[in-house]
Amino acid sequence: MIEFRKVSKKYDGPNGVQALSDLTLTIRDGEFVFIIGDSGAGKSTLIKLLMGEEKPSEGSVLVDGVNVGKMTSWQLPRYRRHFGVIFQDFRLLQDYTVYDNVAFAQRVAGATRRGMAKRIPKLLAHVGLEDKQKSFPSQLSGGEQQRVALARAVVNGPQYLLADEPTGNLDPANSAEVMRLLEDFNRSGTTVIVVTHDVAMVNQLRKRVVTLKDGQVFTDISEGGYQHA
Amino acid sequence: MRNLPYLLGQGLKNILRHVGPSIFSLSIMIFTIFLFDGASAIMLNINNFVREAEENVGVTVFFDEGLSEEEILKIGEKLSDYPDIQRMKFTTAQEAWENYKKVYFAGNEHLAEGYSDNNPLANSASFEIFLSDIGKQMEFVEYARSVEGVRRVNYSNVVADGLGSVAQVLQTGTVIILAVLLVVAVSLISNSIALTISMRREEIHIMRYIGASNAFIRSPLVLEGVIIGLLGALIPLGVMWFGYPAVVDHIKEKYANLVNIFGFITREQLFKFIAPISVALGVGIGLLGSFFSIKKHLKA
Repeated sequence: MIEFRKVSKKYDGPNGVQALSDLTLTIRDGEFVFIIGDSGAGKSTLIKLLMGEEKPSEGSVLVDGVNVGKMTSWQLPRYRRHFGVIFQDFRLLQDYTVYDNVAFAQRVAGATRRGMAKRIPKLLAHVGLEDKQKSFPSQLSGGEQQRVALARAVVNGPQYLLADEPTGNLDPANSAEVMRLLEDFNRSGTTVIVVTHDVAMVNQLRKRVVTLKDGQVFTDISEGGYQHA
Repeated sequence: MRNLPYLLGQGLKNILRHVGPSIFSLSIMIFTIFLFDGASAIMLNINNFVREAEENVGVTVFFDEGLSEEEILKIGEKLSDYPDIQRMKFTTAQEAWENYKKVYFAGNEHLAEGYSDNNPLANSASFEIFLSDIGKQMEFVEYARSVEGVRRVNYSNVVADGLGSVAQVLQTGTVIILAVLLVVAVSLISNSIALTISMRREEIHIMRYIGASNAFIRSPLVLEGVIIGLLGALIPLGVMWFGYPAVVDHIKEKYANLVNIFGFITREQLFKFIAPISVALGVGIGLLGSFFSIKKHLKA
């Protein structure tokens, strides 16, 4: 379970932005949640706090009861392995093949070569890229690259899947395919959190929708649609 | 440990990603360690010369005319009170004359027959004294001169003073130059690694998000420094391995007279000293360079 308890975040510096103000939010295990809001609403900060990249100025972020803001730099890597993350710009390693991009995440987690050889082809088949294992990212379409990123995010069987604007650079067909896969992983027990601007997708899937405005929860509706804050 | 081959590969890849700065750092490393190796070779040989000089060059003490052998031996006992004496060799006046004849009348022994009853070197009984520390030679000479019955003290300070001061100048000069070069080498390796960090910033960011440990992220950077450092040590050691015997042979050929007096240390003796220190120096500089760079450019 993820809990934001009265979290505020003000960035350092003379023009330090107040990104979150007294935000409280709970996401239970196995949920599929959209987090929406205008630019500057605090969506990115929410992800950074969750990943331990930033610490809250006030309040606490608890994941399975553990206070993320209090973790040391040595504890964070192991904690982050509970998360799979995908980004709008895919963030694949350009000089690695599709297989190696996914293997990279497994290697980081200490998997054996044999373990990788067993898991990765199956996973790539699951996301429809079984024949692209030896291709490089530059040889793939945007949709294919996002599916590689998705495979990389889930290869270690994370408890949480965090998607930051996953369809931002995709056409409707590819967006639908990525969302279908996210739902698929959610059905198998992974908690999915999607930060997005994709109105059509949010309206179509009818999942829980949390709208942020000025660093606070503006609305929180289960089976909601896109709310303009 | 399982990831070591992968991490090593990454370290090498990092070096090849920016060949220019890597080669520049490597060149400075090679120069630094070669300077250390070369200076060590000269210093070790000078030490060897001095040690041989200490063993072979003695101080000769002559005594007042008319003293009996018994009286001279008594003075010898007094001389032997000096603490840094390694050994003393007594030569009687008769032995001195015999030695002289062997050298100067060789082949014409009959010419010396005229002196058979009258030793022309009657007052040349002497003690040849070898010190355990050649640096104390002048102090001993002063001491010997102060002993009653001593007429003359022969010594050579060319070897002791000359080699001593050459070694001193060389050592000081080398230490200063090495210190400067070490700082330059560390900062160049550090810059080379900073370049890797900036080129791989995106990759490092991804690594963090997928839960790579600090060790996993840093190891290739540390290994990059260590590989440059190690190569920077092994290349000059290779040059020394082949170059040292060639230089020694050349000196032996050109300065045969000098070489007959002093022996050079062998390549094996030299490497016993320079190999471990050079490798430690190379790896140490590499580690230090990567440490500074990681600390400055890579926040946990």
